[in-house]
Order: sequence, then structure tokens, then C-alpha cells
Amino acid sequence: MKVEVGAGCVGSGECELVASDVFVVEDDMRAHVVLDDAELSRFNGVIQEAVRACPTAALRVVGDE
Amino acid sequence: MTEATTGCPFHDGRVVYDYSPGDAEHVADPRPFLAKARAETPLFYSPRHDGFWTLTRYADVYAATRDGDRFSSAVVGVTMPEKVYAREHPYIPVETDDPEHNEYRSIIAPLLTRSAVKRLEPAIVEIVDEQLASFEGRDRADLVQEFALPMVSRVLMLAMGMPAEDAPSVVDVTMRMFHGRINDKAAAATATAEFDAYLRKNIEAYKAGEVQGDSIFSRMVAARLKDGRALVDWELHMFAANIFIAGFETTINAIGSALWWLSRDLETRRRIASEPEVIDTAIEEFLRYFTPVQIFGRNAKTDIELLGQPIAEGEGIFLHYGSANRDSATFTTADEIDIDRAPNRHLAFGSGIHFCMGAQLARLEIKVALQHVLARFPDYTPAPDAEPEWTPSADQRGLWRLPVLLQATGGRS
Repeated sequence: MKVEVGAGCVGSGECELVASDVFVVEDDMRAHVVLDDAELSRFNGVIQEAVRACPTAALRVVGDE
Repeated sequence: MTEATTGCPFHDGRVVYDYSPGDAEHVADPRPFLAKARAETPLFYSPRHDGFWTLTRYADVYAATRDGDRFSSAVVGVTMPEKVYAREHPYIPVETDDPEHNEYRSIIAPLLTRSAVKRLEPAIVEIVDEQLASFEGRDRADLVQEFALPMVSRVLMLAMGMPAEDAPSVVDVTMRMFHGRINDKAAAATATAEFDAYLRKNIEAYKAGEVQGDSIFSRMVAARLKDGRALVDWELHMFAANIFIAGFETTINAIGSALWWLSRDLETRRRIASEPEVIDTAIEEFLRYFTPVQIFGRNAKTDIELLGQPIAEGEGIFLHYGSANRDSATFTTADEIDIDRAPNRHLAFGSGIHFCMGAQLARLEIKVALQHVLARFPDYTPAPDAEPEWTPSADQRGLWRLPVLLQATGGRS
């Protein structure tokens, strides 16, 4: 599993709010995935919610293994 | 001619209502008209406030926030229907479009991330504690005017980098700005002018290198845009004014509404006391239910068609976040408070590229405020001799005063 943060990210922090283990907004005003891809599937539920909660639809789950 | 919002709309190729969210009937209870509009006329026009369209359904509001091709924010005065005072320049960043909008946001964004605002928590706790300590020995207090307002003003001063010793005079002027909306719009304009002068004084002090520390002011003054230039004076001023306005009445209203609800809902109070983590979903639900920023504007970028309705370039389209957040197509039991609601994708902070920059700070302020009021005055109740009064505002919803009895009835505990 892999999560892409697209160019549309404005650093709203809504992903961090629902999935704080996975996303952190840094000083570059963008969300960053702080886990290795292999660890992400454990957080599938909150990642899916983060994708839906993103105000700019900037998150995408790719390579859903 | 138009129809009152109690009757059928007038049709002239448009659905027209004589509507302003600031009208007494809608301030008292916004639900009946908006429920009807969502069901029957999800897009309508009102000639009020120089004329504006309103979108009422969640799906349409949400789509509009993400449609920068058809909807622009880059018009002076676009965001609010009611103009408190005339101005020449746009608020920055809210009345700008990308790419400028993104460039402006990036200047202060690092100070408003979740981790950055977390660093302000001890100072926020101290401010909240001080304000509540001033109530000790008293039987009653106004939790909006005497608590939420000074608290939020002081937190904003801290985040923006205004000297803490100016707090008494800043709270005085922000109180007059706040009151003026109810009692005297001319007084509000005078207070706003005083506040503008105070913002300019801060900008000059930062530009002269007289103030140290990392703050919104210091970042704005130090910033260089991509073309290498610094922000000019009007940009600094409209940026600072935007940040203060965006964080001021909005947060006061969020705290005031939640404290009002909790003053009457003893079951929720008990749950927050026994399950501390429930406060996070409760805050999101209060934000959805009360929606401090009720409506927010965009302009049609070109001639567009919206829900089959032709709209001309430059016409104002207001996104009714308050209505969207009560849309039963999106939220089950939309007109009820459910503090466990999750997910809760409310639009209280907007959506799209203009999503509220201060959302994480606001959430922290609300949380600290509620936790400390409930800890210090666990038995506070609405003052029996005073009804809550909703602010007659055309864009914001909140209580302008909240008189409470601080102790359990029958004496101090």
C-alpha cells in the first residue's frame, strides 16, 4: 500500500487530524506520510477517511496490495 | 419585488427570496427557511447586500469550494455579505486566488500546523486559567464577553506576536468591535479603525527590528515572495487584519455556542468528565451544528451555469456552510447533536484551497476553553433571568452574551 500526497495539498492538517500516526504536516505546508509503505495497511481505515476528509482531494491510495 | 422567506419565492427566471441570514427570524432560528430551500430551491437569489446567490445543499457547496475554475475569491469584499467598513484592498489570503493565494499562505503556514499550535498550548492554558481565575468568588459571569472574548483576543495576540502588555487595550478595542455589531455599527467602524492603527503600529515595530521572536508578524515582515520582493505595507496590513478577523469572532462564537449547549446538556458534561477523549468528536459536532461562519462568498469567474441557472460573470455566490452542515442527505439526524458522530466531514472550516488556516489553533483553543470551564465550574448553569442572545450577523452565528451561574444552585460547592 502506498499513499500519494498530490500537488493540491495545502497543508490543511485534516489528514493528520484523523490519521495522526500516518500523516504530519510540515513547514513546507504539505502533508507527509511518516510510515513506511509496508506499515500503512494497518491504518487502512483511517487512511481511507483521510482521503475523504482532505479539503483539496490531494490524497490518493495507490498500489493497494 | 421579492417574497418574504415565509412565502413562495418570486420567479423572474431566478428563484428570488428577500433573504439575509442576519434578519431577526433567521437569527432566532435559521432552520425552517434553510430546510425548505434545501428541499425545493437549493440555489436562490436575494437582492439584499447588493444582491447575491446562495447555495444550500452540502454536495453543491462542497463542489463549489473545490471549483477554482468557475468560482473566484479574488474580489474585494467577496467573502462577506455585510461590509462593516469600506476598503480598497483585498484581505490576504482569503480574497486572493492561486497562485498568489498559495504563496501568501505559505508565509505563515508553518506557525499554524498541528505541531506548531501544540507548542502554544501551555501559553493558552495560562491565558484560559487567568481569565477563569478572575471569576473566583463570583456567583455569575458572562462566558462570552468576560471569558471567550478576552481569551481569544489574547491567544491571537500571542500567535500574531503582539506585546502581551497591550492586552487590556486590545481587549477593550476588540470588545467595542464585537459590541458594535449589535448596538452601533458606527462605533464598530471607529473601533475597527483604532484596531487597524494598532496593527500598523505593530507592523512598523517589526519592520524597524524592534521586536524579537518567531510570530505571524515576524514571518510576514521577513517574507520574500518568489519574485524576491517583500510584502508592501497594504499587503502586510490586509494580511494581519485577515488573520485577526478570521480567528476572532469565529472562535469566540465556537466557544460560546459550545459552552451554551453544555450549560444545558448535563449528560454530555458527564460524558466529557468520565471519557475525556470524547471531547474531540464533541467539538467537531459543535462546529458542525452551530457553524460559526454561516456563509462565505465567491464570485462567478465567467458566465456560468449552476444547477441549470445561468449566473453572470462577477455575481456573488454565497456558500451556506450552516445549511450544508444540516443537510440530512449528508448527515443523519442532522438537526441533533451527536457528540460521537464520526466521520464528521462538516464544512465549518470551509473546504478547498481556502480551508481555514487556523483550524488546528481554533480546535486547540476550543478544547482548552471547554476543559477548563468544566473543570473549574463543573456545575455552571444558564442564568435563569437571561435568555441567550444570538448575534444578528449576516455571516456569523454565535451568542453575543452568555450569562451563567458559576456554582451549583444552592451555594458554592
